[in-house]
Amino acid sequence: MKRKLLPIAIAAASFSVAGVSNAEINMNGFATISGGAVLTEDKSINGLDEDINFQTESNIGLQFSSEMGDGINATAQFIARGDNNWGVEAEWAYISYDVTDSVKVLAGKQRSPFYMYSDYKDVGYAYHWAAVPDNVYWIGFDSSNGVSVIMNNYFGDLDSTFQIMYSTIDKPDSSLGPLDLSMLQLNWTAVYDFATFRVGYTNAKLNIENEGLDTLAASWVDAGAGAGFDGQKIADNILIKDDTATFIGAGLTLDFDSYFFVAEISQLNLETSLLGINTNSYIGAGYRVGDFTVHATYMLSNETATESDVLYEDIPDAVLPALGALTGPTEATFEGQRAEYHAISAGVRWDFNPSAALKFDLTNQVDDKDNADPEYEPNRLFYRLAMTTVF
Amino acid sequence: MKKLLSIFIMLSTFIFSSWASAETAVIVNAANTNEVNQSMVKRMFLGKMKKYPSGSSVIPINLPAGDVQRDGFDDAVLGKSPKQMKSYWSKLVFTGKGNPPQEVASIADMLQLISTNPDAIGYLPADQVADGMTVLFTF
Repeated sequence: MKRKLLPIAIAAASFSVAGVSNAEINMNGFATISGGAVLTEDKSINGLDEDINFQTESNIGLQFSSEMGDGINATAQFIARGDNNWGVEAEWAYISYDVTDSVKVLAGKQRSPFYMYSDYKDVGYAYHWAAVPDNVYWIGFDSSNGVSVIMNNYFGDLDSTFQIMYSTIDKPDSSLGPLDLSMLQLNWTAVYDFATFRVGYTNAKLNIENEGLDTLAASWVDAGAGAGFDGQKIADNILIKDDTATFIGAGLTLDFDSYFFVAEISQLNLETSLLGINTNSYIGAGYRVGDFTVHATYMLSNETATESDVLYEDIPDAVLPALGALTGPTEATFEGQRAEYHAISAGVRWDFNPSAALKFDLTNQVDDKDNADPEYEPNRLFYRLAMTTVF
Repeated sequence: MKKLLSIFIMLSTFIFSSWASAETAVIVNAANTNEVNQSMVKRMFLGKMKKYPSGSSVIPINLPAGDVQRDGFDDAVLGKSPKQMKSYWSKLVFTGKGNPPQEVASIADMLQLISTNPDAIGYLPADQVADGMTVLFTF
């Protein structure tokens, strides 16, 4: 090895080799092995159940990046995920170009800026929890393909980063069915000394294919034709086809030497639909003592779906009672999307090594939605144990 | 002679790094005539300022993690603890937003690099500032 300065990564251990264009290729990595289980009998939540599982939330990532000179950089990050049976996927794969000192363009697969921790939610080392708060970080995809422009500016002691991104996603295996969307996102982060504030806005054109919804929608069209009301309108509200969704998010962190606060809120709005308006937030604090960080977080969620009186507003009152065979399953489908809950978590992070940490979180999530069953158990107590490292 | 010198440097490194109250000087090559103040140095070492006012690239140089001068620099100039710095860079590296400053193994390497590269900026015990270097400030 040349006795030349190596670009050193987080730790002293970094690796770099010469690529074909003589540009150095930097390699960095991270890994999180995480396990968790639900302690409340016969309950499952957030992909966890009563048996401890060290696979679904574990990941190992390797990143390669190379500066080609003239402000051109290529970056690829490959992540093997436990919940993908350790299959490897490129999570980031882009070329960036520094147009000026303060303007950079990124083209390729990159992180969609939905949340404050979106960019590095896979890098467990970068935050205190064993996992980012489940209620806020619910969107089932992190990266999308597109172009973004990032502008960095300084106003006195305030660092400002503004990002605008246009991207698309095809996700054949979303929880509701094959999903595709195109979206425009705006993301602004301001850092002033100990404070970081972030606000983001997404406008998306969304399609989700779901056979059950298709069948239900077709039945409404038929029923409307037979009984003389606009069944197509109800069908359109049930289907998620070319629907416009907006998503807003805001977050704040205050980081002092030994203690910190963090809060984030997000809201998805897909009016008159199955997804309705979902508002999720959390607020938390932590305290650092030596190699330990203790922290607590309160999470609050309210997920709605369009109410039936809005859905059926065009159906004549005389006709509605006869449509029980349709309103029944429609209501059941919509009701299944409604949720109201809060959760409290407490955890500890131990930095037992300069590049590795052990984390333990205990969370109790409480279902606040009315339940007809008097025996219903609204609590779900679960824990996560994670070891995380960067290299 | 060369060997003797490096022994001397090693020895003085040892002495000065164990003498935590020694002043630290932030330095550049004397050929670097840019006006650089403390808040600019902070932004350079946080990867936020990549060019000198003259337009040439900034090459910030760190002493190794755990070094007394390094910890003092992180605390006094960057205002962050070593752990906060590590978390700061892990956020930037894995989002392709930046790489941490290069590290040298010793004060001798720092001296050598600053004296040969006009774009480099670093820090070392104030007593060890050599000819051909400009002290931007001490703390």
